[in-house]
Amino acid sequence: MHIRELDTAAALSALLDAVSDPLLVLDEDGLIRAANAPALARLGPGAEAPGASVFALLPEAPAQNLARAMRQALAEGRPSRVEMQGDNGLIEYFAAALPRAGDEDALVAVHVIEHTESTRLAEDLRRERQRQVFLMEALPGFAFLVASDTSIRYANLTFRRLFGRSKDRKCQDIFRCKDGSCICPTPASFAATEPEQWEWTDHARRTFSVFSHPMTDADGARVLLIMGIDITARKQAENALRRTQAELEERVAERTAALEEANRSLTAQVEERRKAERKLESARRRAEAATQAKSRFLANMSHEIRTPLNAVLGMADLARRTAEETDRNRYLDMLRQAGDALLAVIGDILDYSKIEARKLNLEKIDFDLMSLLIAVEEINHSAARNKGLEFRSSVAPGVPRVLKGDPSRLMQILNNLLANAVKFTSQGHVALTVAETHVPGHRPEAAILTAPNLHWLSFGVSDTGMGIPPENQETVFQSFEQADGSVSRRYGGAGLGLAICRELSGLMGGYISVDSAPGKGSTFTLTLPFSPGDPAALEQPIRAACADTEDLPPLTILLAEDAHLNRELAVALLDEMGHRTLVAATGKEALDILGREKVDLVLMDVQMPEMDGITATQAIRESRDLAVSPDVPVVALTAHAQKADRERLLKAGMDAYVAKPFRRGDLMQAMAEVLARTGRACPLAEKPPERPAAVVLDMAMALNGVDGNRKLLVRLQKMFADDSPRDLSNLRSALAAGDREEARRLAHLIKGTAATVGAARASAAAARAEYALAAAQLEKVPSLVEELDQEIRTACAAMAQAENA
Amino acid sequence: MKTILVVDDAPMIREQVKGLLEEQGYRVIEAEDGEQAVALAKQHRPALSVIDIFLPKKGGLEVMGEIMKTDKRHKIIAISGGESFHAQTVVQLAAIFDVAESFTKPLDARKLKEAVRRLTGGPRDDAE
Repeated sequence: MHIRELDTAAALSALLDAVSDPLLVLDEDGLIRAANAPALARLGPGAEAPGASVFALLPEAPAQNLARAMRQALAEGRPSRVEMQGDNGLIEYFAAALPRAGDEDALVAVHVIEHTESTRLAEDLRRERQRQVFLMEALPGFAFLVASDTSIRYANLTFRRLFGRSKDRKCQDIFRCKDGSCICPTPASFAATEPEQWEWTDHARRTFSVFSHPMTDADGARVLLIMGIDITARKQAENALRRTQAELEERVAERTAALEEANRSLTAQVEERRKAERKLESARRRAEAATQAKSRFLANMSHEIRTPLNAVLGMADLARRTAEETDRNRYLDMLRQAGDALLAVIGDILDYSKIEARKLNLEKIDFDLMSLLIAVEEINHSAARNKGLEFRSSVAPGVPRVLKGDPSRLMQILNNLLANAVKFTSQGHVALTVAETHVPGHRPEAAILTAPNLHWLSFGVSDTGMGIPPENQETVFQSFEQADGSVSRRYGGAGLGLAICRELSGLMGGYISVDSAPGKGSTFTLTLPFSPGDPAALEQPIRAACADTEDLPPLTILLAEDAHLNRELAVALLDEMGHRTLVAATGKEALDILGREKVDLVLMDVQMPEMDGITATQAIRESRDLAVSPDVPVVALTAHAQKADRERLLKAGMDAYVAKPFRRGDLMQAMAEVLARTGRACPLAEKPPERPAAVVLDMAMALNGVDGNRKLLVRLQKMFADDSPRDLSNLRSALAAGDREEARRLAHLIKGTAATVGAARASAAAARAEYALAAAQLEKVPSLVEELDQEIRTACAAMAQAENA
Repeated sequence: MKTILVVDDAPMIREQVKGLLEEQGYRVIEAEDGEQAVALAKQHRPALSVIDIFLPKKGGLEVMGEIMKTDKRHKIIAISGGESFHAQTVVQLAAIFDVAESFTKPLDARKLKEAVRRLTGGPRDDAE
């Protein structure tokens, strides 16, 4: 074997022999200058013979390919490669020309690769690996291979760009896996068999979609191929989208919430409105109910007023039509009673209204209980006796005699209870029992009064009447109805009485209760507290100095009253009493008259327009230029009966007062009292002097009736002259026929017509005749009729004379 | 022109009232008793009636009541002879019938005329 001698030739020779591929050096002719062991083995023994040519040793095809490769290498001056398909696979011939010095022989180094299956596979694998690497290098994402010791075996370009050098570094070092999720695999990851995928954000807040593929390398060790693609942008977009979506959802939710809220509030408003409507409705219903109740009340009251009123009218009618004196008086009495009843009903209504309007004031004066009880008995016992009932009354010993309270209201209640008792009892008795009682236990409202020395008195009114069924015992105290509607129809009454009694007793600090059973009678008990009264402070009743008030001398009286009906009434009363009355409608008018006329007494209405009674009285008291003395007696006519008002009147200078509506007796008593007090003695036995004679023909009076229309007056006088003799004649006929009624009517008629034409005396005569007929003083009638006849003639004569004059 | 009804059983009184009010421009109709009065009132619908309280057959108050029933606007002036006892009750009751005014005989012509004028607002009809 010939091998060029080099340095380390033996080593080199060994090295070349160790290479598995044939290596040769050949000259142009193919002569083998050098060959390694594999080459010699391949070529066979012939290769070692001197002057052996490879072309001769090789089969034709390879020899040609080799030759071509050599020729190319020599010709092009660079390594060439020729391949051919051998029996076992691909054969590659690599030829490279050796450097030539001078005219040395051209030599070529030849490398032959004979690819067998295994080499091919290895080659394929290598190539595959290379492709893989190319691929990985080209990936837009990062890729790296981690060994189980977490060292990075390989990292692609993108990785290097993103995370820096990977060579000789461990995964944790590169990624600083202290915080957050770590991309570096855990030992467990190496045991995984399935690829994993997850999202990972690095420290630079880039987000990657990471894939990890477990693999086994050539040595059988587990490695992990980790790849990741930057999805930061996508993530941001996703987040943005999610945020937008969330925002949208939030807004929708907000809007929905707002709508719901609005809906709720609307519903609430509607509910509020409905509630308000319901309240309004119930208030309206209550108002309606109250109105209906008031209407019923008014209807009831209207009925209650009409009933006695009908009686009045009926009785008046009957009285006028009846010739029989006793019947007539009875009708008149009944008329009076009905009138009183009417007044009582009206009083009840007023009281009740006052109570309802809380305008009712109670007095607190000292009064004599015994006198009151005696008065109550007087008022009620005759009614009881008239029905055949016994009237019992008893006062327990120790009941104080003088009390402080409102005696008129107490009397009102007692009278009411007793009247009821009598009304509803047909046989047996009614009884009034007064006793002291102890503080009632179960009445909280009564406990309000805690004054010491308080006397609780019980006034019991019991009867043996029809009784009240238990279910009605409460309604009986209610207004507008009695226990049974039919009761009211049978027994009459406004049904207000007990309601008023209950209200009054409550106002007085006490109460009323009833104990009753049908058929067993009833006991109404009025329980009231009283403070003890001062006997010295008892109001003295008005006592007339004159024993008999009928004996007042005829007086000139100034009546100051603006209400025309009351005025008429007062004038009529005074007229009847024989007094001369001057009339004023205001305080000023009264003062005017007092400036001209001398009067004996002034009846002064308190309420008048322009100048009221109090002012007028004060003016009188302070005056110096009136026709009367400033001390002229003044009696006040007042609708107010309260103590405070009365005191005010007396302070103003009035001498007495009469409460309206007043009765004849009240007025007379007040006048008498005042006159007595002011020194006008009561001439007991003196016969009242004749009233000044009226004139035959009072032209002033006549003209007053026609307001100066003389033509009319003449006509009227002619009528008087024609009609009155005839009227008188009819009067006589009526008397003769016993028709007192008709006679009275005619006398009344003549009275009016005579006065109208100024025949004052004739009118007065007619009045006397009328009165006698009305009062059934039949014995006086004939002479009075004669007088009237005479006066009529005289008057007619005077009229004729005046006409002729 | 407005109509006034005068009701009194004395012809002279009717004549007096008629004379006074016709002078004022009213038309005056007369009745001498209650029944006549009610009938006339229904027929002529007077603006005001002057009625004597005491009338034969029907009482003056009844007349007033019936007239008021048919025409609430109807005003009433009551006249009377000024009896004492009757006046006391009856005059008070007349108040219930809403009598606008009342006078006693002998009538004060001026006051009567003034009252009629005031209560009717004058003799001319509202339509005139």
